[in-house]
Amino acid sequence: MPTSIIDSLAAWLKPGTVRRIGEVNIWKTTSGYRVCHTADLVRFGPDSGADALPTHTLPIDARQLAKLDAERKFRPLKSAPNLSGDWLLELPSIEAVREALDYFYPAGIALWLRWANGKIAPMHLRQTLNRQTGMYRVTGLIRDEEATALVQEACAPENCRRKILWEISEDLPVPLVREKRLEASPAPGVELPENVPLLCCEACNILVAAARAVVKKRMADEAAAS
Amino acid sequence: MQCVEAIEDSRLPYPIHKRIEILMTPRKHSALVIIGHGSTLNPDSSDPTYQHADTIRSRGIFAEVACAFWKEEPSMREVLHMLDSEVVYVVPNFISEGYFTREVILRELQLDGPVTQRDGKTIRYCDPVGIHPSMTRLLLNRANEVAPDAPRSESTLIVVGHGTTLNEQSTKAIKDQVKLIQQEIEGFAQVIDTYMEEPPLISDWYTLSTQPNVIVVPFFIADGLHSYQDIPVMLGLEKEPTEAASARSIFRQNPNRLHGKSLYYSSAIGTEPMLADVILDQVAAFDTLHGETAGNSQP
Repeated sequence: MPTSIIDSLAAWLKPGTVRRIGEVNIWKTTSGYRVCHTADLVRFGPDSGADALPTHTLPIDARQLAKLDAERKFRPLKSAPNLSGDWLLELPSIEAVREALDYFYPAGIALWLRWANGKIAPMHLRQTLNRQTGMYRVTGLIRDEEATALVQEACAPENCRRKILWEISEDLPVPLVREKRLEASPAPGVELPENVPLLCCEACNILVAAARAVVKKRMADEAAAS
Repeated sequence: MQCVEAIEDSRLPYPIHKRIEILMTPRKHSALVIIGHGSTLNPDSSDPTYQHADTIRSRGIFAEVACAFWKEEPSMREVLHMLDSEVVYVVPNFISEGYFTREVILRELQLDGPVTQRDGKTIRYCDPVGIHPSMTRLLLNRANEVAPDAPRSESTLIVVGHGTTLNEQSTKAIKDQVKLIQQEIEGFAQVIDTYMEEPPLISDWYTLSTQPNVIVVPFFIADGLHSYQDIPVMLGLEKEPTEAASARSIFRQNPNRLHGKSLYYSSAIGTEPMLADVILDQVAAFDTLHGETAGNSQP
């Protein structure tokens, strides 16, 4: 059983397999590894029949590929389903694959491994908001119905590919659509699945900032009405 | 008055001639995490933090090198999961001590103080880069790059920071640097600190400066909205904020003739490649202060 992230990745990418995380596919070649957008797999993948030349060869190239969408707009949320394609990344080593995947999906592989081994306790939205200070302290005032509506909209599959592991609070679950759910945690020590789900262990800063906007708007509306 | 090397020698916790040797000391069983602010709006905000990580990673000093951000991914809550190493050095890529380094980072990384042991890891929390004595050398480097031909005896060096009336600590790193250069380093006729949001204001640069050449160095971690948009407007280089595009030529127009003076404007100090060494300086300073094995579960 692999004990480190790098060993788990190497076991995952055994020859003859095509693996996936988010919108990228990865496979081993005779000289290293190749990565492409899932939409380009037919064109660049091992079964494409053509030996395409790589367009990029450095792990840090993945940082640039993940930075902007097809319209050249900034992607602050890497799990948004808008990774642009039309590139083929060739990497020489498993260490380079680890680095590149962490640019496409920061902590994506590691979070799944830790979660599968029972090392992650999801943090409910209330817990995340209640620990905020400074300009985000006000987010603790968000109402249950506001929080539920916000999560349903902001975390919808068309905005983020992550599977949510947390609830609004211990007593208030998030009404999630099927794509946002995850099957029960696998047994400890299980290897990475063929398609690694992106996990959301607690609300991101983008959601916290959106919660602030909701509370501030309600306060402004109430002030205007009084 | 002394040269910058002599100043550093007196302020570093190790002799300056041993600095590179100490900074390159392998820490093969340790990981390094560099914490940046990041941005959900500015695509360039996290670049310097990533680039310093690239530099350090390429040297093979640490077993693992990672970045984490307040406003981008991976978050501080996620980053420790990305590491297999049992010892993790955390260096904030922040310009000053304050709200982020004393409250937000501690809370988000769930740290108890300088040394925290949790889940089989020892986390060693270092000081932010901006308060290290080596920043003086970076400041002077920036000034030399942007205005190599301006005679120092006829030049004002202006270090510009954000400033906020909410936190006194936010300006301390800049004031310390300015005081050091004023008192101990030969060359500039005048050295002053200015701010965007508190006096002395950068917008008053032409009345504050006494010399015909004025060199402005932003004491910021990244070239973002402040150095691309806000400060150029305050200096009078631009009439209104323009887009925060990387291709902006604001730094390539030097010198600018304004108010009868030659104005040189540099990019943010945090984009200086030598900042990677300052990150390592903070790791070495931590070990000097706390001991190389403090809190380690294994030697």
